[in-house]
Amino acid sequence: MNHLNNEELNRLIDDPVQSEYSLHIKECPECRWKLDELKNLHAAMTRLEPDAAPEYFEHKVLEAISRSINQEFRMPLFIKSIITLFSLLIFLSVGLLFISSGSAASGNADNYRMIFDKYSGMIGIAMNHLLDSKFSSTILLGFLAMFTMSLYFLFEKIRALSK
Amino acid sequence: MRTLTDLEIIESVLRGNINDFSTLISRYKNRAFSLLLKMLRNRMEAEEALQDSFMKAYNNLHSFRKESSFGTWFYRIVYNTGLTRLNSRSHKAERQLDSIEEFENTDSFRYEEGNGSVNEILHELIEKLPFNYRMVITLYYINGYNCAEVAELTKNSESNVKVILHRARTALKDKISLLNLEKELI
Repeated sequence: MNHLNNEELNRLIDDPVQSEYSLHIKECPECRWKLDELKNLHAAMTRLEPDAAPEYFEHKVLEAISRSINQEFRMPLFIKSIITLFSLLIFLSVGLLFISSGSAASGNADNYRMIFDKYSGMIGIAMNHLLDSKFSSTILLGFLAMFTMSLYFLFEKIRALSK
Repeated sequence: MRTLTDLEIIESVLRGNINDFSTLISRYKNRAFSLLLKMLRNRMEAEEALQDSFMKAYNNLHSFRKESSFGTWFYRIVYNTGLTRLNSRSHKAERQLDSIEEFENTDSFRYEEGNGSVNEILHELIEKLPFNYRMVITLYYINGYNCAEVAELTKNSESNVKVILHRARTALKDKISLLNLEKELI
């Protein structure tokens, strides 16, 4: 009599009503014994408890989530502060220019122009002395980046308002 | 008091009640940890991967489609997280060494009477199986996947998964016989 192989015995575990093998199992004590062993293992595996995850793991994950949420909020705030400062700088510069040109009508144009020219000239001289051309281009790039960020911020703000 | 379903918890978390996520963690942490432990065979790494998995699940909770159960969806994240870690250079070499011959010839497992519960011994024996065997056995018996789901997750055919499951079961039974643990375990 040919005994059932491991594959056939295993198929009987998954599907116990496989008629082609059930007759053989009835007649062959050796295969019946092997099948019982496999059945017992299957039952023990079904009862298998999972490994225990560390205690207070929930707390650890929730803390990590809170941290990531806080980081998410902190970053835009930092960017916003820089952009706000930069915008303020632009506002003041434009304001100064406006005052100097707009005051022409009031007759104090020369006065304001003189003050503006004096201070911008001083800043220009100081910049030339303190910074070489390599530094100046770095600063220019920095301003360009800030300008791009301002545009991005403005775009995001419009998008948020339009929602 | 009525126990909340996974879907009710997910909706609550999405409404901003982050603390409710801890209920989901409690429900799935042990089975997910078991899967990672069987994959990585390193407790510390499994813990890190488990935290990564829950973070990924939280961040992608809005994309959970409810077509499958949360468990099936989450264990997929866990499996992929484990796989990413496993594919790192250090583990690749370890995986290549994995073979059934190694499992059959191993004498690293020594059982002494009273040394560990049935559960612990079975887990230890599963951990010593080759990678494919222990994955199929763990997903099937611990994570409650059926063969079709294991096949989909492991990118295998269903028939192949059944063959692996049968071979893994036979390998385990033979090992138990070899160690004379039939009485204790089965």
